[in-house]
Amino acid sequence: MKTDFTLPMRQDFRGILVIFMMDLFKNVKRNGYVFLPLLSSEVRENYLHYILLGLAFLLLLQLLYSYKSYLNFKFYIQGDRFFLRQGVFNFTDTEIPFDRIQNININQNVIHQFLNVVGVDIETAGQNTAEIQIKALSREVAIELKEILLKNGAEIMDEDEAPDPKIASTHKSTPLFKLNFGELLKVGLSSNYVKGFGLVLLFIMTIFRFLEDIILNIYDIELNDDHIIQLYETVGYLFVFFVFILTATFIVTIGRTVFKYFDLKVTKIENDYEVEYGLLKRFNQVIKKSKTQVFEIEENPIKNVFKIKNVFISQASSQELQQKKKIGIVGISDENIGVLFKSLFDLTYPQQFIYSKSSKRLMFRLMIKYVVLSAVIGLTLFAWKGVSLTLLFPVLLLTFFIFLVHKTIQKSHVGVNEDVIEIHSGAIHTNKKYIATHKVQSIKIKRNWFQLRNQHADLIIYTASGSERINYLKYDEVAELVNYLTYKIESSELDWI
Amino acid sequence: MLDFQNNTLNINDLPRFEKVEGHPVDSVYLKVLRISYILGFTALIAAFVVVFLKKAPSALSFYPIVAVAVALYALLIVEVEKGFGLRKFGIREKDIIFQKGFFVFKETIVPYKRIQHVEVRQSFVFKAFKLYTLKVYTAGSSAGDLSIKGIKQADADKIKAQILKVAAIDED
Repeated sequence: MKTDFTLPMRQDFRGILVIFMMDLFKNVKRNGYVFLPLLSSEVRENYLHYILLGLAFLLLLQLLYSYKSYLNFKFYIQGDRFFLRQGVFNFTDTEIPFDRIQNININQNVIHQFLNVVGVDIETAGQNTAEIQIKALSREVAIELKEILLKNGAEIMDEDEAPDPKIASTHKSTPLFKLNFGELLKVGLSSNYVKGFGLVLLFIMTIFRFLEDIILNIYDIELNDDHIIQLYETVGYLFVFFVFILTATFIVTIGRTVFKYFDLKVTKIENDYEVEYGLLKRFNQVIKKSKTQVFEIEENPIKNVFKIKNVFISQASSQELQQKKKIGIVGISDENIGVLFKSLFDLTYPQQFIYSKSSKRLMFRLMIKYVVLSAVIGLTLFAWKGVSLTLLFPVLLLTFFIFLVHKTIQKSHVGVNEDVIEIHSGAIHTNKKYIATHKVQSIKIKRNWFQLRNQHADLIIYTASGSERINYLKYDEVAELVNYLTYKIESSELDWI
Repeated sequence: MLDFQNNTLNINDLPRFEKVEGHPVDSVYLKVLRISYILGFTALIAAFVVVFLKKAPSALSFYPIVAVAVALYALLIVEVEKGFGLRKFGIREKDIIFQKGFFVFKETIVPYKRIQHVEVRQSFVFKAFKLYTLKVYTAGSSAGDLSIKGIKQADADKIKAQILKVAAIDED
């Protein structure tokens, strides 16, 4: 080891720029709306000087602030503890014993890549303890730091057993799984297009103002034309528009997947798995058996054709978990799912379960929003185009929604066995979530006025990485499930972390 | 029906949470709830009267808004009056149960083992009525945590002691 971590040290000097850029992005993102007046040409003509001057001043302030925060950020290691002092106006001292460190993630975003440095995140156990972010270190120093922090932690934990320094120092890392570009494209092709569609729609709506003039011009011409020609033209425009949106959705969805999961690698390091992916922002996280809460397998008809599945793993975290925080292992084969499942649950995959299914009555609850949505779309079309489209489109839409609801109910169920809970959901895609019974934190049963009368209940299971809800189960079955699960939690010797 | 015959244990022998005898929260808490909804309702009506006199809004938009607001408030009052009797907590050897709600009846079960910490607190209003709130935190999301509002100090201390006792046994 070349670097001496016992002396207080700053981040890499290139960190000044990283901190500056990251703070700047954060502030622009948060306060971006102040630029809105710039869209008006009047403001631009009259006040441009002042605005630019103000911006330059703010930029200077930001630079000074970032420089100061770089200067004040100092960390060192003493004994088996990691110390950090940071702050600009107020100082914060943080001290973490090594055995509290859960994970060390090395990540690299665009700025990092440009400057050839990496960021280091130190995750700790416990709920409200700070997670530490070192924004810039050279890769060598980061790896040295990671090894020191993790190795010492492991040694302390293994003290009872005979410590064997040889095993600790030689990492047994074997690659489990690597996704090549062709397979990544398959994952992109088979992913959910709804989000991509939403993004395209949002984009179109924001540029709609600029397009409005053009569209209005078209209308003027149309109004002078014959009715039949107008109909043909409208259908033509709609068709072109439709094809455009579909293509854009297609490209955006595949692009997102490729950017996010580029060069996905899963490596087994002793008992843990290290997952790495991303093109612009390199994501690097370690899956630990003890920290894993929810194991999620996603499949859909297209994925079945390609014989791939997506796996998402949620780990215990201090914040409420979002889709972003889940570790995604996409395009994985059944065989590898078995390997992962085996090492995280000590059980073979697939497992046998005893199921409880959602009732058909769930239909009423699910249909309400779809009926409202169809009605709103229908009325909007009516106001815009008159009767012709109004009848056809909402009816088609509603048929599709009925199909969706039918599928949702069909797939909604929960299963239990000796060790694991399986929660099944989805509509077109199928989602299976696995939770070890001893990782459940608390259980809630919800019954509304109707459910109290028809003997049904919603079951919500809380884990350290969010909650899972199963709607409209029979109350008797929920009661049995709850009794069984509480028995399992309370009689288990295993801890949730 | 569920069938657990695969398991070595018989599901019918398991302790049943539905059979737990619940303790109601303190009746003084109903007073607090009543006072707060009466105050809220008065404020709402006062606001409508002021708007009506000062701004003279058109009847077409004003009355529907009043009707909707009053209806929502009526639902709230029904929830408080009908739902108060349903607010019950149950203490078992290994977990704590809390139930409440008239329109949506909710039962939360938290095993003592999964409790991170317990908090007994008293808000400003509760202080005047000598009431306490017991909050139980887990590592799960806050929605899954359990909070029993409006109990006497003796009850709060008893529950806390029970939780700490089980936690201490677990430590050994």
